[in-house]
Amino acid sequence: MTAIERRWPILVGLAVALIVFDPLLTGPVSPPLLVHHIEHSLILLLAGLLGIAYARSHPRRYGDPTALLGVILLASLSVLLMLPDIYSGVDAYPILHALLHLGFALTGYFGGYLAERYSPRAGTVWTMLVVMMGVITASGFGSPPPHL
Amino acid sequence: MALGNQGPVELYGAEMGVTPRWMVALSLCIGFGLIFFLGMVGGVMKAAQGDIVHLSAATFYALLTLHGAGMIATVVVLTAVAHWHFLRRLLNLRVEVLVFSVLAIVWGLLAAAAAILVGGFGPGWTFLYPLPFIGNTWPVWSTGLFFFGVLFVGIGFAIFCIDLLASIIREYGILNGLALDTIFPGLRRADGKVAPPTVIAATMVAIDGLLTAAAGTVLVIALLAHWAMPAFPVDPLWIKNLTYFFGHTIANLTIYLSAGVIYAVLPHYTGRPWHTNKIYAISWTTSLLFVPWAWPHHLYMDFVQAPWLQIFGEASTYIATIPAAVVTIFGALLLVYRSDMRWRIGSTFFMAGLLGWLVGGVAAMIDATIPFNDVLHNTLWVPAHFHTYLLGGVFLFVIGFASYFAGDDAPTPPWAKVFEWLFFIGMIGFLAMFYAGGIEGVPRREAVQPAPGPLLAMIGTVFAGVLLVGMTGLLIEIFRRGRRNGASRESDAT
Ligand code: HEM
Ligand SMILES: [Cu+2]
Repeated sequence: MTAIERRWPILVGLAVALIVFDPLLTGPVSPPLLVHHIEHSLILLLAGLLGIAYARSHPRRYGDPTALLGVILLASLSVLLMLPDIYSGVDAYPILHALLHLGFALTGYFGGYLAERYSPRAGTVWTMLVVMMGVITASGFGSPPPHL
Repeated sequence: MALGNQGPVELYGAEMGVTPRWMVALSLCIGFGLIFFLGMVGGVMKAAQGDIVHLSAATFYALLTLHGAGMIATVVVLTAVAHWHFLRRLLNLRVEVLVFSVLAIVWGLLAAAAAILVGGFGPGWTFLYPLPFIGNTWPVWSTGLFFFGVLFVGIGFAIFCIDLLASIIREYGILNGLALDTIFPGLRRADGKVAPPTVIAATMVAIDGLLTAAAGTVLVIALLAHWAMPAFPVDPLWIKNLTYFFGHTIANLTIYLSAGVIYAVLPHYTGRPWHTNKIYAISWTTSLLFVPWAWPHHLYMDFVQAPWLQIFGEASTYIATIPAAVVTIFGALLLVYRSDMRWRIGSTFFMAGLLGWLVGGVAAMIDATIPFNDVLHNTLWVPAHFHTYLLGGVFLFVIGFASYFAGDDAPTPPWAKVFEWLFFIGMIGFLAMFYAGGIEGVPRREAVQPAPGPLLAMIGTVFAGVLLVGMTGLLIEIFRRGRRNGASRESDAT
């Protein structure tokens, strides 16, 4: 293993922490919906990568069907957390906002971990799908039609 | 890349005491029971349009919703289970996962059916926003229950696809699952093993199925949020695009699942193997890439839709449909040509289904061509073409599979031949009435149609009755064989 291979999880972990606690630094502002959803998708992506890395670093027993259920539930949870009505309330309170970000990080981490535990590379597939769902919500969740 | 090279992966072994064969048989029984019931519902709808029976408008639209949503979910289960039956050995699939996914889909279907039958929910199976929320003939709870049902159907399908894709990655890797190693020698495996066509089809379905399920989940959660909190705004155009991304693609994938079944089953009847080559790799990869982009052909009438999407959707429809259909139909003909094909119920239905796929596909592409769509949009041409490849294609493949699964070695007895004829005559007549209505410009999805709709519907009802009688006879014969052969093949899964 090269130094990079060993260290990247640390760097990614730092990046996740930075985005998660970003509201504490920037204070009670809510970015535009599109940007905000992309930001949340980024947390899912990076945390998902960490979960995958952790799963791969351990001797594995593949194919536990309960891991599959967890994977599906966490994917649905990630979309629920994207509902503006759920999260816009917390934007005014940086600590709550950071906690919500932590929720995204945990969802991404455990989703990536469980999927990778379920089967090799399934973590990658799961993470890509969840990011895709985040991006889809960015273009339509909670936006009224332009002419209304 | 291909993890299959690393030797066997350790798997959880504990099974729930459900044998694969038993699970497939159970799913077939549930599926055909539903098809029978929903087919009767279809016949009643035709009879109402033909003024033979009287239904209130609210009842008609509720039945229309039940028939559409129910049939699609049912053929998803049937084709998925049939394909799974062949993939299990090739990909080391586990029956527990199939149990989960079939349960989730059937449970979702029951929830949706309760919303429809008890609550009278009736905006059509495409539940186009904002109709589900402003229809005043059904209570608010039925809208929510229906969407929960759809969510479960999506989840069940997602479970099926994730497990499939994970297994393909384990056994072949994605690229070799598409047999791209036939094109790029660098990908070739040491043992020279190439994915058989049925695995290629599975790779395509698993990937596109996951995209569909993901989009469907976002869609349904947005709708459920709007249902729970009416102040939560959603963009109707965004919803409509997602709805068709989900609805069109999941219905479409049943054809690709069927193709996977055909690849595995026809060799059994012709005694010749079905080999993979470059052409399969290229055409299935093309379909994989373009099937997710065909949905905009449902939105040609939406003037606010971006023009590039309309053009791209039209082009994608052609590019997605043609290659896989052509290689499968040609491949099948080559396999059958001058072989000693054994004409049984199964092989007859598979070959007839290929014809339905071809005719329905051509009719579909006519409708997906913008100048024709200007005329045919929302006429009976639409149910005409999709019944041709769903009823006259996918459904025939499923009957063919059931017959194969139940044991298809004995020649078809004469009385079963009679039912075969009734089935086909009824089906062709029924479809012909749909096409005639389309050419006459009769609108689809109407409880009361302008002339000549009622006359055509009256004739169509008679044909639907003949079809249903034929179907019942055939299903009884298949079931009888299955029971007779079941005991002797308990441990075997081929
Ligand atoms: C068994 C015989 C069948 C009969 C008698 C039947 C009858 C009908 C009728 C009368 C309609 C309404 C057409 C209209 O006026 O718009 C319809 C729609 C539909 N059918 Fe069938 N059908 C049958 C089989 C199937 C099968 C096997 C499938 C799918 C696998 C299917 C899927 C649908 C769908 C998706 C719709 C559209 C519903 C809508 O417009 O919202 N049908 N069918
Ligand atoms: Cu945020």
